[in-house]
Amino acid sequence: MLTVMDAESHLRSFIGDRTALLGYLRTLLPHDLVEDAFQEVFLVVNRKIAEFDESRNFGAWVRGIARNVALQVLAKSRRAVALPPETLLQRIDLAAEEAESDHEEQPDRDRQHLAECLAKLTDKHRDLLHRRYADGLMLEQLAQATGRTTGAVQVALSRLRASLQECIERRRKVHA
Amino acid sequence: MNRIEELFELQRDGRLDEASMSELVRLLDDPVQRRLWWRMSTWEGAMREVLTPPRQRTSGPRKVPKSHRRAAVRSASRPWVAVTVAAIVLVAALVGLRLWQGQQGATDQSAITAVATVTEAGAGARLGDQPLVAGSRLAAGAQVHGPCSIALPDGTTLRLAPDGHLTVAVNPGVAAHVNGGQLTVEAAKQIPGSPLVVTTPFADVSVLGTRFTISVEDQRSTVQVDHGRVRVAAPGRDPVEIGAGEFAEATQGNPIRRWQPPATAWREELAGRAAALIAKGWVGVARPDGLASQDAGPASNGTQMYWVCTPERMQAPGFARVQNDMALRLTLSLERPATLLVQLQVGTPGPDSSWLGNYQTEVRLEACTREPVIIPWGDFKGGTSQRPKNELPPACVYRILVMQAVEERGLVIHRMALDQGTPTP
Repeated sequence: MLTVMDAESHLRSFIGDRTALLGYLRTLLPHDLVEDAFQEVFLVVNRKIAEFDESRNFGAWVRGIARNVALQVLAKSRRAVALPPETLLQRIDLAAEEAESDHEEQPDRDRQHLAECLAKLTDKHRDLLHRRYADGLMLEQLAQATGRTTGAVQVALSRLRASLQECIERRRKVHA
Repeated sequence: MNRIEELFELQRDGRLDEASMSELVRLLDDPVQRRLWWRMSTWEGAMREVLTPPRQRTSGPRKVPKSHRRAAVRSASRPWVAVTVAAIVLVAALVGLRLWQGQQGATDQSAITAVATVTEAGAGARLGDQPLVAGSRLAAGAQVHGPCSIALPDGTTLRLAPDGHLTVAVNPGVAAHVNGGQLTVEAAKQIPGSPLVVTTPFADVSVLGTRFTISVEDQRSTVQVDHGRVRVAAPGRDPVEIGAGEFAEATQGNPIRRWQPPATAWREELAGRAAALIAKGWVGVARPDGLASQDAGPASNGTQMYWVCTPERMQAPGFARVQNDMALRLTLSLERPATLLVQLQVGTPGPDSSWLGNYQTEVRLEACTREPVIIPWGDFKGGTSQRPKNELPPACVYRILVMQAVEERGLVIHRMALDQGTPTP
């Protein structure tokens, strides 16, 4: 059984990695269901943390819970959306495990930098990102709203991400 | 912009077709692409966090006090503490709720021109955006969300299901308009020439003294009669009269269809135990005619998806051991060939059960099969992050889910059962 210290450490790790889990849940669920699922995953993890077997990978354990929660949330929502196929989920799980073992820098560690970099964008660009990530608009909806093609919206989003990434890298160096 | 980014965006929008999905899976065999994918995914989480104002999100998990986190660890050794605390909290909440309901009830008795009275109101029932309580009087035009029972002045009872939403007395001569979900009507004897009328988006139902259920979905309204007869009519189409045990279905622009349900048995046995195949609020609502629910709309590729499943928790703790010879037996009837995605979820027994794994397989079935389809346990595949099949504990609970993509209904589940599991004492 886990000690109190171990359990707290895992819960801290869970909270610290929340952006990764939010991203993972978004792979499984439509945009508007992610928050509820995230909360539910947290509650289940908190409830079951004492049962966690230390010999297992904590991230994988949480993702297993996330999948079950995602199924429940989908069911409650009564939407005929299925989870992605197992073949895809296996590879995404592998990607997550590789990222965890590489201790890769993750955007959640750079939230402050990200907020500062976002503030430097033009209103138009910030609005585009807001609609995509906060409002959860689909590419087609964004294209319609901005009078562009979906391809153009995809490219614009890609460029904005790249420019934010560069901005964050610069800030990391300055703060290092 | 690289291809993996493009596919990532499409996956988020649920727009990946089969070919793109295969391409994505192939790309993700490459560790570099996997790394890119994961970066995109965590990026998305971070953007969501930063861009969403705190009051609109619940991004940080609800705070669990430190003492509670410790309690989670301790509770295994002192379960009575958790039970006692939970009981006190529950009692306090119920007392509070009762008092609050009393106040609400008093408010609702204010002077309105009532055309109906709420006789029962379940959790989640609403009048507009306010909680609905038993005793409330409803004025014409009141918007009511179930679950609740409503008494009309003539003695008719309207039973609105949890997913039901209706408008009371929307027009003269119309008792209610069902906007969505399910309504069961127990009609009092009607005055000749002045039948009770309930309207739906696709048809009007005139009651000739009966008990019947109306289901309104996105594209259709269905009426099922338990006793007596009803007349289902829609503009420009021949009306249909149906009697006990019959269904009528009205869709936009099509003739009203009537049919008798197949003699399916939704309540069947699972490994020798009774298991009602009624997915109460879990994965849609299994329809009383034995057809799968279809109220959730189309899947991302545009095809209609049906989910049917056994209850959330098959209350058979320890009823079967996972063994290599275990098999899932399905008996279905199909109107056309179909490929079914069958999932078997395995979990720990007891009230705190959790799902240990979700194992799935695809089964191709030809039309009109009535023979049992045996799917060996060995055919089910699980994800890497789930417990391997050979590491499952001996006593488990199961949930069986079957998903079918077809353009219209065509699947009737006659029986879903786990065979060859060894009962445990």
